[in-house]
Amino acid sequence: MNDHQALSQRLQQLRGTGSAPDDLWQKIASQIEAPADLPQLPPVQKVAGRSWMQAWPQQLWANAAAVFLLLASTLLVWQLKPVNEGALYQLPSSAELAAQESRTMSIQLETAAIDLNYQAVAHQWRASQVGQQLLNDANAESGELGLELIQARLLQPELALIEQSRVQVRKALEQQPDSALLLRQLANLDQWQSRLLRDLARQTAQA
Amino acid sequence: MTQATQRDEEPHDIGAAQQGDQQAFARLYQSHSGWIFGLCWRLAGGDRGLAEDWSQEAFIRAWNKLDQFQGDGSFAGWLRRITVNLALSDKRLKRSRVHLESLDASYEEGGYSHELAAPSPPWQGADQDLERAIAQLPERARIVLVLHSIEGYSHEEIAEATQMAVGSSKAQLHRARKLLQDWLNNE
Repeated sequence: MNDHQALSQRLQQLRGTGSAPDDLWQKIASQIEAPADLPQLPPVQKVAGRSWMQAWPQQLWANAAAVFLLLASTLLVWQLKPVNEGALYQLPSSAELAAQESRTMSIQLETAAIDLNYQAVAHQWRASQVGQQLLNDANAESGELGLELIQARLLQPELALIEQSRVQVRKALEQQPDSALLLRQLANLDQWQSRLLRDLARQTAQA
Repeated sequence: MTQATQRDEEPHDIGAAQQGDQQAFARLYQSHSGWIFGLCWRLAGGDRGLAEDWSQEAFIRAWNKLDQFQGDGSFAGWLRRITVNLALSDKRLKRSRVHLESLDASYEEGGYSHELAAPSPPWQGADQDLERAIAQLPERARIVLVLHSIEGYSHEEIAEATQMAVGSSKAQLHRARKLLQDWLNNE
């Protein structure tokens, strides 16, 4: 074997030799693995133990049932559609609007009457308290406090307030003549007015 | 597992890997990674880092192109073509033709010596003297020698892969063998 043949043989013996670094596979594996953030596709569904040819009747029935349910729900929605639209979009008549406004006004007037009632009661109570205090003061001053002063300090503001309330309630009754609450409120005001006038007369007599 | 058993299992592993089985691809890697790295090391002139990069990229490309392997030839031959094309294309990018010509010119002028730096292959049991001598050959002479005398490429295949004339391939092979003979006989 000459040098040429020997070299050729040595070169051929190098074929297939070599050894990769130990960590090379880890580098490769890290780059061929699927990204972790990508969702995994679900496996293809397979009917257990049967081929597609054997399973297709069951799948056909399942698909037919799904189609039937879809059609039934569509028809149901179609039937309900006019009713829903009428309920949603029907405009109220003028009479209904007037009735609604009347009911709203009635509620507002009744609310105003209740407020006046409360104010009248509060004034009456305060007037009685102030009147009693004035009478006590007058007694303490040996009857020097005159009737006119009592009327000016006590009864006149209350009588003016009651009269103002009676005017407001009467205006409300013009709008709602059948309102029981307003009628009752007016009656109360009349009663309180009469009571104050009697008190005034009694106090005048006592003075 | 013996080499014969590995060869028997290889078609199954190829099919499984084509279906995305990484374990099967790992077995293919175990069977072929050694000689792929050896091929890359020689083509790279003993540059271990470059050889690792090529080996890694070659297997990644193989994984990504597995569906293109039809089984017409051997899996090793398919993997070899991927590796060689990868290495040669990378060479064309990294080193200009001018640089290659200058290396060859320095060789022609006698200023190129394999004694300057002789990297040894990083694996045991190799023909260390011959490997070091090959690693020190001029670029084109080394590529032609490795592809023709070790990997079994014809000059026509080398000419197509390296985009050089067939005559040039033969000339480079002659030069490479002459250098190796001189260096090995002097040692």
